[in-house]
Amino acid sequence: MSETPPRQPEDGHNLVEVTGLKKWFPIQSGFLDRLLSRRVDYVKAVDGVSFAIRKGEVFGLAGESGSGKSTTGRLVIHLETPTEGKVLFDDVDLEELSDEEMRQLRRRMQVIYQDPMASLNPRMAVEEALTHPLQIHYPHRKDEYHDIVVEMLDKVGLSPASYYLDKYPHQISGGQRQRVVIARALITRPDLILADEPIAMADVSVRSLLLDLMKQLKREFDLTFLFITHDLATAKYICDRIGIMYLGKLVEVGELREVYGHALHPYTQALLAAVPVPDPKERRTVPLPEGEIPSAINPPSGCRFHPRCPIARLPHCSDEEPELRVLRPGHQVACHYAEDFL
Amino acid sequence: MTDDTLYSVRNLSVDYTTRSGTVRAVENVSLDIKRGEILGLVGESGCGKSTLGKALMRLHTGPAHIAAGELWFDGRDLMTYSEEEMRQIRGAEIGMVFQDPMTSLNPVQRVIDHISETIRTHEPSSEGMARQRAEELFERLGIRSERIDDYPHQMSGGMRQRVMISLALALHAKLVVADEPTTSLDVIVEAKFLDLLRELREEFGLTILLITHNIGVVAEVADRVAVMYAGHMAEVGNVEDVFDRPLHPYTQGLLQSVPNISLTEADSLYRMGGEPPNLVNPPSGCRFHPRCPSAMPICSRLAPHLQPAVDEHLVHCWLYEDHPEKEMPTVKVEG
Repeated sequence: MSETPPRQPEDGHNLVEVTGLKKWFPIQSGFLDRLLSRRVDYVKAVDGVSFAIRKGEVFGLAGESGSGKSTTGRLVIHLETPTEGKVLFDDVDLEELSDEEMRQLRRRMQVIYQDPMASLNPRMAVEEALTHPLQIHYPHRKDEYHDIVVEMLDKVGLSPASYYLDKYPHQISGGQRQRVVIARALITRPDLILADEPIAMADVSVRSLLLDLMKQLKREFDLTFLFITHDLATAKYICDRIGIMYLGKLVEVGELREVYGHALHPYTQALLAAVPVPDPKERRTVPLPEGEIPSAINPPSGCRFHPRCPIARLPHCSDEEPELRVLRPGHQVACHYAEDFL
Repeated sequence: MTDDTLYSVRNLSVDYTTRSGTVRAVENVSLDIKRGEILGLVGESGCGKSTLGKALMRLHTGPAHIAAGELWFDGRDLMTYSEEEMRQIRGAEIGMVFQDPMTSLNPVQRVIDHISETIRTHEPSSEGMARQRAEELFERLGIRSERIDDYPHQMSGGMRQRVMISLALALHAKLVVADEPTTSLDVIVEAKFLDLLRELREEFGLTILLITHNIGVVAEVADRVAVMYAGHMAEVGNVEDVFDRPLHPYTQGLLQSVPNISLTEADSLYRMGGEPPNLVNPPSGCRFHPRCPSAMPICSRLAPHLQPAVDEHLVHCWLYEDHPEKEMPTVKVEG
């Protein structure tokens, strides 16, 4: 099923354009099943997603676990090959690149993951960890490596850099480790950063520092972010636009203030209402949808949210899958009855 | 200790023996848990909140041990109890819910067997009676009663966490210690679990100690809140008072650095300098002084005491405590 292509922005240019993206993972089947060629089931992790990321913006993808947000991120930077659909990076179709061309393009797309301890090699000191990407992408600038590393450590707030150069990951704190990971991602001078829950592991009092650092580096290095998070409160502080995912589908996309201020999809409304607010005077009173997110192996027909939706009208919602459509300026929603909330 | 106090912790210290020396994870902490309240215990990783939670049941083994203190539960000092007597208390009078229900439930045991075993360990009861009670509880907790024969992996995270709560309810526990019970849950499931906690408190007269790093969760359900920092109790008070007028500079910074989804809130967060200290070698005096914007010279020399600043709002900070060597006048908090 095709979806409406994303609206072209009036100004600027899209760094990433994703059209009809799908990723189905086959479910491991036993030998006997294969012998009898029984039907193979798939986990439809991402099932037809289209969006664009503008140059210089922070585009957020939010949703619950199993919504397909991380898989979408990995597809965008081609760590996974799509089952169907297309990713254009700076107008280049990633599917058409040779391995060597892809390898060169990787310099321009880097990743920050959730757990810095798992992202860093425990047996590599900071300087080595940061030199490694330079060796791969800038083999002819050996003499400059040390200076580039020192400069980058300063930029991420690890100063004096000389103190950190020979430290191993276990010798520094969690917040400092995530700064090393950020430095390593930026050292190749990328254009796009995929940040997958980058602050989820950090201590509460350290999170705001890391968010701030990412904002500041984004300005300084002219970066574009794909920011994946389950935490809508965090997204508010960094994202310019946001897409809400549910069971492999984008249900709502738009400017962050627009989506938060005028959520049009009943799922987005529920998600926003469920976020605990750090103010005892604003306790939630609205009811929440029944049940939990269903399995992506055999998702509900029609609109995937219909079994839990408070405004679902059957059989329309269980028969026909809603398409993303523009209902307010710069704000798309995939719901047959979103007009109710206009 | 008054009659409406269910659990009273007095001057508790817990030590961990490690290769790099003894770590005092909880130092001289006192805390009262009132009957029928939800008390939120918040702090960052390593602040001692889980260590304190475990100490309430004297669950420490291995490298950890209670170095000093009294644990008054329902009028009895648990520190004087034998291991066998403690076993009668754990599970029956004090229930526990941990972060990851998958590791708290036996993966090769049906949940009914787990519940039935728990009930029958503590009370003489037939299998049929235990089953009937479990089914009633499941219905109450919003799980279809036929799911009682499932294995833990067949349930969702939210259901498994309800099973854990049902264990505490099955034995009519007076106190439930819930350590990060919603941290592994998605936000909608989390919100519904918090609703459930509130309902159960009303219905069963439960007292709940909710240990969490999530300030939003505390604001959502707690009646009172206790804030820990680096093994010390920094501040204790009614949830409205602490959120409205935090007294400890750490609480003040923490509340301002937590993202708030409300669009009317500011777009930038307070940036607290530094990181929580390593307790192998904690800062001298008040452990927050190296990060504190209001630190005075005395703060690095002496540790303050947890004492009332106004009514029942306690704070552990030199700003509000008198001392002859203090360099600045004491801040008076109006009631």
